[in-house]
Amino acid sequence: MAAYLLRRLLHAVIVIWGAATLVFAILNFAPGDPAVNLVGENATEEQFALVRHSLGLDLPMYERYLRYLGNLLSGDLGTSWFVGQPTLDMLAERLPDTIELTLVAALIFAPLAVLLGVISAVWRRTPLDYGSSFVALFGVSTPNFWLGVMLILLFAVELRWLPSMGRGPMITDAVAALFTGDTAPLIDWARHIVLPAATLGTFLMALVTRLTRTDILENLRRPYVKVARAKGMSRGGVILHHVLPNSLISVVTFVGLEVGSLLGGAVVTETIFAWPGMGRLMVESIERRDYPVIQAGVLLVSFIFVFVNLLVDLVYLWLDPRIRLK
Amino acid sequence: MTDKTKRPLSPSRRDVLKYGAATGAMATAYGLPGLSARRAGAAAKEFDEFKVAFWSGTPNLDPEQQNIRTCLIAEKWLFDPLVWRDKDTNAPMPYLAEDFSFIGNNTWRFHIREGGKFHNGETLDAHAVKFSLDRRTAEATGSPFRKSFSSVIEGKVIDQYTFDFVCNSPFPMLPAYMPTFYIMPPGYYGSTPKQELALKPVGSGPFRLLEFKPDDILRVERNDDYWGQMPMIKRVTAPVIQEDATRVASLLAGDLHIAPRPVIEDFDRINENAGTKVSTSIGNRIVLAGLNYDMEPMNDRRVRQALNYAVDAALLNEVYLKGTGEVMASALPSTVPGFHPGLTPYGYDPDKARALLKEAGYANGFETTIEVNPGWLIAGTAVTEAIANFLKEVGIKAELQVRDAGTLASRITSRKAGPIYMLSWGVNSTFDADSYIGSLLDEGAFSCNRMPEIGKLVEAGRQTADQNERVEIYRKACEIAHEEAPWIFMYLQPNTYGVTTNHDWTARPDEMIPLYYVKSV
Amino acid sequence: MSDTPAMTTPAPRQARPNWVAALLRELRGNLMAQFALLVVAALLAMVLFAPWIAPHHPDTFALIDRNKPPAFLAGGSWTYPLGTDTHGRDVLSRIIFGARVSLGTATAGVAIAVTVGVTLGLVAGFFGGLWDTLIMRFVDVLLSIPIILMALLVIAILGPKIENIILVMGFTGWIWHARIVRGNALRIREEQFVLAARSCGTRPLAIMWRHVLPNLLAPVLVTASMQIGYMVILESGLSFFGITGTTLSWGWDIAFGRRYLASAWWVATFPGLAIFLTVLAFNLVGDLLRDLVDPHGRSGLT
Repeated sequence: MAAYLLRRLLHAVIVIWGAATLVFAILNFAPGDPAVNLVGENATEEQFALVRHSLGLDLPMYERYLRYLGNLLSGDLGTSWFVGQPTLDMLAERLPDTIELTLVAALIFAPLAVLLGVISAVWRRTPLDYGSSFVALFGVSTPNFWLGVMLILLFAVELRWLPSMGRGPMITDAVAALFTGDTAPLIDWARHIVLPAATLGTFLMALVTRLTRTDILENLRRPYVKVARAKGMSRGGVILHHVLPNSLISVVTFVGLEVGSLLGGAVVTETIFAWPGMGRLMVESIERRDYPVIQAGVLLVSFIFVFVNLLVDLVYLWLDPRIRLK
Repeated sequence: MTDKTKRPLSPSRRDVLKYGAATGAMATAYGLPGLSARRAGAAAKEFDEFKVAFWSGTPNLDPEQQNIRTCLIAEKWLFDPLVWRDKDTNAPMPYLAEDFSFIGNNTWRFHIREGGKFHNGETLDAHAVKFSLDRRTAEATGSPFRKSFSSVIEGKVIDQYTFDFVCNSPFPMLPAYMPTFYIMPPGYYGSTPKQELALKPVGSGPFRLLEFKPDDILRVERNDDYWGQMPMIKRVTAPVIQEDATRVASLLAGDLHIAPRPVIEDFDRINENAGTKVSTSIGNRIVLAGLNYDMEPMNDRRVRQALNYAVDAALLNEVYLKGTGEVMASALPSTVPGFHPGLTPYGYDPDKARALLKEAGYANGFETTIEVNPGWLIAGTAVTEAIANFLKEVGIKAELQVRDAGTLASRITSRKAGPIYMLSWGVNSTFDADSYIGSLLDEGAFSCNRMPEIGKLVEAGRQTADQNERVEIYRKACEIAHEEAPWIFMYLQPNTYGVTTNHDWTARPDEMIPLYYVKSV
Repeated sequence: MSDTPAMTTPAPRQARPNWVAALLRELRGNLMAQFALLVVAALLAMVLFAPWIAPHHPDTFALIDRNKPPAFLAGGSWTYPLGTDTHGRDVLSRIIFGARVSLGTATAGVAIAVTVGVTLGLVAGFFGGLWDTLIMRFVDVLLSIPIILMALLVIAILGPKIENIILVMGFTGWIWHARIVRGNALRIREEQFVLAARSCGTRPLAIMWRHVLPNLLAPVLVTASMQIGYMVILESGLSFFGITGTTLSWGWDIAFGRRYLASAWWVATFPGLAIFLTVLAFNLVGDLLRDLVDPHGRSGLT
């Protein structure tokens, strides 16, 4: 088991290194002068100087790469050309909000999706199946920025049930308030996060529903299910005790893999809902061509992805005894 | 979130006295009529929380590190300038300076009011003004306003509350530049690192900083020691909402008091909605399609005039601005002294356009490019596409190129943009002709044309302090510009806002959103 | 029976190709699949016959008729069945012509993704060893970066042209195919007929071409059809950021029209509907193909 863990760790490190190198390669091997590509031909001399120095373009490629890696290892992801603050600080300040939104989206919609998937599988090829599939497909087929604005127009403007933008109190404060018997902050928190989480989560839901459905159908064909049924277990029982746990492993693995697209989806969702997370910063930076922030954001997301998947692997280890025994 | 404006606080007796005293003092200082009568009305409701949305990011609140409009608006809440603009007449009015005048010898003298204090306790006097001026003009600061103050040789402290701007010329534009010259406390700004100054502004303004998350949200609270008119607002919350539809939705849902720059198509909806309405005012921002003289065939006056006849600016104004803009005949809008009322805008005459093109040798039209940054003008993409369409009808095939702000700006300043490029010009609301003509024509920084006669007029305009003389000079410039057609003249853009009907703030010509005089109704 | 003269056997009826029969069998009773194929047919018609189907030219301004609502609402007219946008351009016509760009870009992107993905997947699966490790690590690296961020990064550097958008689609989308192809290649490599061929000394390239590839065609087709839907959404996502190489595509119309969602909602909603139906259809077609090709999930096509 230690060997397994070590291998996974090494794998994670390699992937992070690979992502960093890929980003470096894209910038430095793209046709044309990287400085010109980023700030345009007609930037002032000062701007060019700033960019050249910041990217290390006056150094030979080999040194540039080493300097880049060295900086990354020491935690220096550059300074924003626009805001003047270190990118890591800027991103770190906003990261909790993005994580919060992403977690809520995942934690609410993944289980919902699993439920829909189970329904779909159990009542295969009935209207329930088609209905669930339709709901799921809806999530993956609509551009999420359209969906976001429509939700705002419906729930905030027409019905006035929910606020139109922004975030409520921090979840930590809201939970703390609960202990003093004050439910208002928690309700406020929930009201603000519902719409953005729904926008973000529908995409995930679509994928997880299909996955669950397919996986359950797969498992239902397996020999051990037949054995269990032969032993007298009810269909529901089989699904609950045997099939579902196995499928959950697939789901958890899958959600881990989809962290990337969730974070990507957060970029748009945060802009629509004025949610103060990392995604919004990315959008502003892209518009302003604030390259250090863009680069840092991509690397940070990659790091989070690898980290989450490492966690998933550990959970996997705990769930699936076969691996533990290797 | 609960809408606190619907349950206003009833003021205590002490508050009434405090406000009453403040307005009384202001009445004597400003000589504004009727304020003592309003003392009774000061018992009116105040806002617990007033919400204004920014339509684009606010990265930095140091007045000398950027000149972004949203930041300028926010800074006005926290800082005070020497001179401000009256909300109804738009004329310069005394603010931190009780009075100011040109005393000859290229010198402007300002008398600063006594008793003012900064949020951190430092005294507000001529020394603070000197510090602020030095900080602005120092090369090390890198202020984007530095160039506009290049005519100022030095600032002299005459006594604790008298300050002189000694210039190398009459510098008649100085009062016009004052509203964006915020006064800073020397102790704090002299000793704090630049990065922190961007995040933690300290001024003397009607509000003080509560919380600032760059590009996200700004919260300020009332400065209860304010020397001037005490705001009827306890706290201001200013989130950044870039998404147009969300901003309007927030206004309609009751989550905002002021939503700037609503999409024109939403005007009807905002007006029909109970509790909200649209407030517009024409102001300082002109929209034009610049023509680059260095790129054929824009060097031919006939072609340039043809373009003006081909594009129906009045229709564009009707359609995309719902008629709230003002079509322009020449380089200056009607809100700026120097405007020539006798000039008529180029009308819509595609036949004349084609005739001129034929005369210039382009009977079959030609191909060209229009560069645009859509965020620079209202309905930027739509208007540019419409212009391209007009040009198509006279045989000119125009390709659109969307650029980001930084790139297009540097292309214009290096005369590489075009042959046609869209530009809007608001100049930090100086309302001074020199800021338009001086920068956009001939050798100006944002000019891609050449008109030596105008260059001479600009120089003349800078050398005299007589405002009447200047008006004559700029009128002449407008005449020449109209004939020469260095741009496709378009219109003066309105400043548009969606507002709730429970307060009395209305759109100002200078694009600013000061909140110290807002009252609930 | 009786001594009949040698009966000429009737000419053998042309056997219906297997897959047509299988397709018709799958379709029967499967309303969703029928619907999906209908949509795909309609899209194909739009792409091929746009100038003849569309009621107006997509770029004609009609400022008098701007912001007209769809025909079935008050104020609308059947001249503009789905309404007009801020310039008076017909929304329906823009959707029909926009199909060319949106689908064209997506298809081109998927084509590149398939080519690269199948090639690399084959190499990884068939040759294994170092190749396999390298390629699969590369897949992991690409997986760790959300496609939208990758696209934004690349386009920030290369510029917002259609060719670059297609390139990004291709060079991020190939990982889907590579994984499936690799898995299949690994499996097929051990099959009897392949082992036989190798023992005969047949060159690996020939083996791949003649034996492995045909078996992969089907699963790749399934994934490709689903990927088209994904790429259409990606294109609209990029338009959201103002990154587009065109002013006539579904993504552009949504991005441009979303400012007016509170009043002229039809400008952005109908292209959104078009995207929705397209993605839905392609996903269902993919499902259909998978049920046809691989009903037991052996190719790892879950």
